[in-house]
Amino acid sequence: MTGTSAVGLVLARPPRLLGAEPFFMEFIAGIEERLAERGRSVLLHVVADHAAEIAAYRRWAGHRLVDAVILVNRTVDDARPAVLRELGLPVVVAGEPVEGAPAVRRDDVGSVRAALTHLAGLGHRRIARVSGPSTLVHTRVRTAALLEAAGAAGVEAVVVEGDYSEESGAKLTAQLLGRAEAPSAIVYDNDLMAVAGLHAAKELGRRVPRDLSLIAWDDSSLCRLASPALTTMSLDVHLFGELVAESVVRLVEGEPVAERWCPTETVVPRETT
Amino acid sequence: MRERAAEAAAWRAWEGVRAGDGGAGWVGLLVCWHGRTGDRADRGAVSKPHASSKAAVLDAIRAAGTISRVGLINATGFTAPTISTLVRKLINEGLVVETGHAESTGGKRRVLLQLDHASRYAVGVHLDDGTMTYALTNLGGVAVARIARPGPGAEEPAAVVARMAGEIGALIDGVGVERDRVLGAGLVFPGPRTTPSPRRWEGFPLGPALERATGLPVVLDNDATAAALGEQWAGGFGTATAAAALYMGTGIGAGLVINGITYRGPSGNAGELGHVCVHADGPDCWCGARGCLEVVAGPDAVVAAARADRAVAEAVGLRDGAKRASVAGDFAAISRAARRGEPRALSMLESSARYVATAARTLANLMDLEVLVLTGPSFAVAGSVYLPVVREELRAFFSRSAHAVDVRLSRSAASASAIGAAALVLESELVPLSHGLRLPENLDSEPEPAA
Repeated sequence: MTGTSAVGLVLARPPRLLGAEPFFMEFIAGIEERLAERGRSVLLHVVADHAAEIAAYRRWAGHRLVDAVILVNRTVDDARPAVLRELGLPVVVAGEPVEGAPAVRRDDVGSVRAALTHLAGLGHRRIARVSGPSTLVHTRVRTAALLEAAGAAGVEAVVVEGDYSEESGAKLTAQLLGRAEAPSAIVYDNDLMAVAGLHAAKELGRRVPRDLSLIAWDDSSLCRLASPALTTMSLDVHLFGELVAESVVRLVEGEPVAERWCPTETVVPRETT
Repeated sequence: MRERAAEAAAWRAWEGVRAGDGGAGWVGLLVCWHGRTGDRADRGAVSKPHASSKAAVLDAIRAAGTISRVGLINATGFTAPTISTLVRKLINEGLVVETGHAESTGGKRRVLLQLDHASRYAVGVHLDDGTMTYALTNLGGVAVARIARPGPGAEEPAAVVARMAGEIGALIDGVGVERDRVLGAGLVFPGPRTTPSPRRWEGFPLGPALERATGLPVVLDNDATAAALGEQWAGGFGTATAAAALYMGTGIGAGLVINGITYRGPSGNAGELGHVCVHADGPDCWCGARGCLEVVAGPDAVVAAARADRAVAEAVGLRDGAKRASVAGDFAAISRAARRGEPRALSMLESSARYVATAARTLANLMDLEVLVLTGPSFAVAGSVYLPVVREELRAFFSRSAHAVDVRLSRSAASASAIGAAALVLESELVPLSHGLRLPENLDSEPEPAA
């Protein structure tokens, strides 16, 4: 093909999770909407791990299949930025910045504070969070922000690590509720774990929100359709995608690209808090 | 035992009718009764007539996810030596792998088999209003890559085919799969057509042309049928005997899967739910009929209503002129506005949802559906509005006293037809039929000794 006009995005995770993740499809829809105006497309590739992700970048650079790459899910020991630099692939980061690459950032600290304020305002004094993998930078940012905000508010906070899957959401919720000092509110780092956690809590006889409050991250159809409907931290994911695409377009067209921020997430109160 | 249970279910249904649900239930009940008792899986036979015994075994492994050799004997009715030989062949071909052991049931621990998902791939292409969506799926029917490109527009068919071949090639190269592990390409578009509109596509040998250009076997089908097959292949219908995918993109359609087999009809246009009449005195539809679901309440109708109301169009952010989006794009913008809480956008969608739900009930009553999956890009964005309305309407499902209809959103709604197009290839290349697969309830029970 002449003039690839594609922008690459690799998701490193088991492929079975992809369809199950409304978050990423909405994110990609936002990116595609802005890119399509410039005749560009997103090449989405789902791989099992970072090694396969890096192999994909090498292949794309070798075949000149993409004009730029959108890097997501920054990890603590992230080998990818160095490889992308070496390959000379232009990069926009969705999330925490990488040296030399423009980023579109989410305000995780502000979001965590908003969630905590909401729960503390409802009188919760012992809360738990089922996090995403701790290898992700934003998981750590949220954890640090939560512990700090909880300390300041005199709220006891515990963090248990999940992997974004339904299985981990259900299992960790049951474990938390089985503790001698069980939390009265649980915050989940995504929608899938929260929906599974809600089911698990109901099976254990907890009345939501009377006995237990729940908040999900990543508002999606799953949260709105849950019964009771889940209170969520709402990021306009489509807008996030649009912002990323705008940065990508500027980057590949050789214009200067500033760091940008998504609006801070707000609590959308529904029936679980 | 199972026949007794079926009989009891039928009697409960009958009681339901007598108890005041209306007296028009005779025929439906009889169908229910016979359908339940004719459970071929009870006899240990494969109800889906595969072209070969190897295909039957592979399909049983796919449907089960993981299964032991004993489970395969129960599922297919083949003898132990036959299963042993066929499984060895499938392992040698790299299609199947051994994956640990089943829970012990007292006897020998059984080795479990499953598909080797990374052993084969298939390409799916969905040609729709303004967009061509490409997916590369693995053997499990899960997308490992996806890209949406501009649609054919005014391009000549031959040029479109050349572009498609290039884009398919780039997708395969992008994933780094060797060509000989790609089984073929499925190409799907909205019915009722054998080639996509407009007229200059008529008579163009699309399938053969794409085969020549890509060197891959090519399969063509209707996009809603493909979406249903994709759901079936990836396990989204479970063990349902009668299931359907209700597809909404730019138009509305449905794909039917009966006894594990997609039902296409003689022209491949079965399930045209968008052209079921929901308003006898309604507006004329492009198809030549009147009051069709699509013209009354499809995405096009919702977009037209939103554009006709300037305040709504502004609140939603619908753009005009060169920046005007496709119908699907505008519909997505209306859906996002509804989710943000824009009341007029929400009420337009809810109005549409009531008609869609009415048509869904018609379909469920006709087919005695057990599962209805909402899929396609328009349900991917607006599913949270439509799903509760369809579920509510299906409380009035005719055979409700016998069973409920499980209504859910597809996990791959946004790219369902492209993924389904790839599943068409997987099916035609690996488990060709000469018609569904029913698995017995307990796959791991010991088979009856031969008489």
